[in-house]
Amino acid sequence: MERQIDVRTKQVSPAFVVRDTADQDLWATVLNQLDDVAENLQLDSGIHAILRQPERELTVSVPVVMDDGHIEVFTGYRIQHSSARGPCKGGIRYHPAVNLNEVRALAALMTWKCAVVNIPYGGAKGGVQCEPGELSQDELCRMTRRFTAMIMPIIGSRRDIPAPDVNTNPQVMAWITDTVSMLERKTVIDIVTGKPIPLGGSKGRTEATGRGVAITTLELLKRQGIAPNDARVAVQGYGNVGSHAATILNGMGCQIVAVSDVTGGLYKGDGLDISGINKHVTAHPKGLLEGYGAPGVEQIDNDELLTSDVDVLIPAALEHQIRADNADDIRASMIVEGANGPTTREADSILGERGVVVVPDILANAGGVVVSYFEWVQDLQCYFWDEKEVNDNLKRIMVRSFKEVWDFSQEKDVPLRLGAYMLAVDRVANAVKSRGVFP
Amino acid sequence: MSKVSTKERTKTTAVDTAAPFRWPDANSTAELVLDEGLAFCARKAGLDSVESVIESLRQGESTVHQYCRYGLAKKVAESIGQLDENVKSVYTLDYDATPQDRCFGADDQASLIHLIVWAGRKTDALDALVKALDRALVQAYAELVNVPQLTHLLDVQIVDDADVEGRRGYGALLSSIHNRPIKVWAR
Repeated sequence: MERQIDVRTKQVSPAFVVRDTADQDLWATVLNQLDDVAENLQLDSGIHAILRQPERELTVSVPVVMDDGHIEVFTGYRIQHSSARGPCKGGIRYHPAVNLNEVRALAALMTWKCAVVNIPYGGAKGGVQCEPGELSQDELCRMTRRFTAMIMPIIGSRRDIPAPDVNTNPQVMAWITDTVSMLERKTVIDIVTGKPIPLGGSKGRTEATGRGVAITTLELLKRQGIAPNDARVAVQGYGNVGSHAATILNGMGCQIVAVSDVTGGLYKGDGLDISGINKHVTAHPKGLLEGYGAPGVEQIDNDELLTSDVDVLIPAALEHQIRADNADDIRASMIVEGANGPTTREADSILGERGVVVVPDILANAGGVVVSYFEWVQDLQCYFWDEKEVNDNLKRIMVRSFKEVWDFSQEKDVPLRLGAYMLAVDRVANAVKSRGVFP
Repeated sequence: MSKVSTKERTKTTAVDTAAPFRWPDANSTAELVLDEGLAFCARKAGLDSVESVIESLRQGESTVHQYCRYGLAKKVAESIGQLDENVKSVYTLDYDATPQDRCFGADDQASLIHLIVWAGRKTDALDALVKALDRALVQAYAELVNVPQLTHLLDVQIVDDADVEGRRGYGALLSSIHNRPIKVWAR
């Protein structure tokens, strides 16, 4: 009997067309930012032109036999912005709104992020346009394996090493590892990072970003002549990044006077009991701060946290928390961006005029990509480090990176954000220049 | 797949009568949301019954919690949209500083259901509707999964046109590339 084949190609819904315009704006924003930096660096126009364009863009169709037997065809992307400094590095995301412009922009941002911490990677990003929650585990596995097979010509442990991103996780990375291993007929654990530890993942990855934020904060305090014991810190967001940053800073002597999550915040002028809060959060069925109480602890909301009387504010929740309408009210003299993009461009200008020192996300939250680099190094060597070695090496790289960004910004007399981007672009440009243009 | 209503599985108690807002059928709406959300979870997680889903939830199985959260998010979004004509669309999102760190963070069972509701305007009625639905859902879900200390299941942020157009607060996330939410319901 002839089997009827039902093929459905996933179409982008009109709802996302509007967003696509925003994504074009985003790619344009990334290019504008590069143009500003190039002007500040007086970058060679030829090298500038090279960096304005991704090296390679691959669009693939990803047909998947769904559980009910019909075939759906998804669209996937892998974009490599630059491999001048080393193999490309960047996550793979599963989301209905993934598109070329978004992936282009994110790939370029990865190039700068890897360069600012001086790890030998270029930048890449990838994704599949899908609604992951609607896919069963089996469908998700089949889609991942087919996507992997389709992008295999351009990925590899010395070419391009993917990692988790929005709606992907260590399990997805394990499927990618297995697919490449089966097709290459050998075990290839160095093809991705963010794997489960039994499959070559690195110890210390869970805390890496928060630890990096804490190390950066301590370096900033040192430059400002403030001892950790005298520093009052507020942390917005008590998830994986915020909670680890608060715990490590508290362990180094800082007074964490305010923390918050989606349920609200806690404030205590002479310092919160972070160990007690962590016990409460661990015992809470949803891992939240709500319900915590101790003598002298006041309940505050997220807006009050942002404007609390502290030396250091660490926004480690979501984007756009510090905006033009609240930037003037911020009392902290230092901001360390644990989250991606917590400060809007307008707010950044206001803070700059007020003399507030902002450590940008590209540097402050780079601890995660640094430990991903360590995972790759360990996989290549087939020799795995203990957690102390991971943490010690992370500290060494974050301290060095902070110093380099700080010194560069001082030398050029620019804010840390611009300094970090200038340093990153300068490094990539120098690599391009040294290698020359092939042939 | 066996069809057992949430009512039969749990003794759902009435919503707090002292609450500032009660809409006529909070408990039955919560039961419907749970029934359909758990059935969705069973299908996607490859489990043969809703009872297996509940057992897996009780055991803290991460993937099942993940599907359950998504299934409930869709049904909650649908209910909110149907009960308030002012609602335009509803999105679900994962919440942490960076998406890469989200997957290395707490287990999925420890996550609230994070929703962004885009409404024509923010009203007290919509706020009360969300709170009442959360209360009813918490009571039913807490008994079902055996977490009596649960006080919230939903984290709902309401945004209006000005928030979205001005990219203010949670309105900014709808066009975010870092923590991009997924649309689960639209009018």
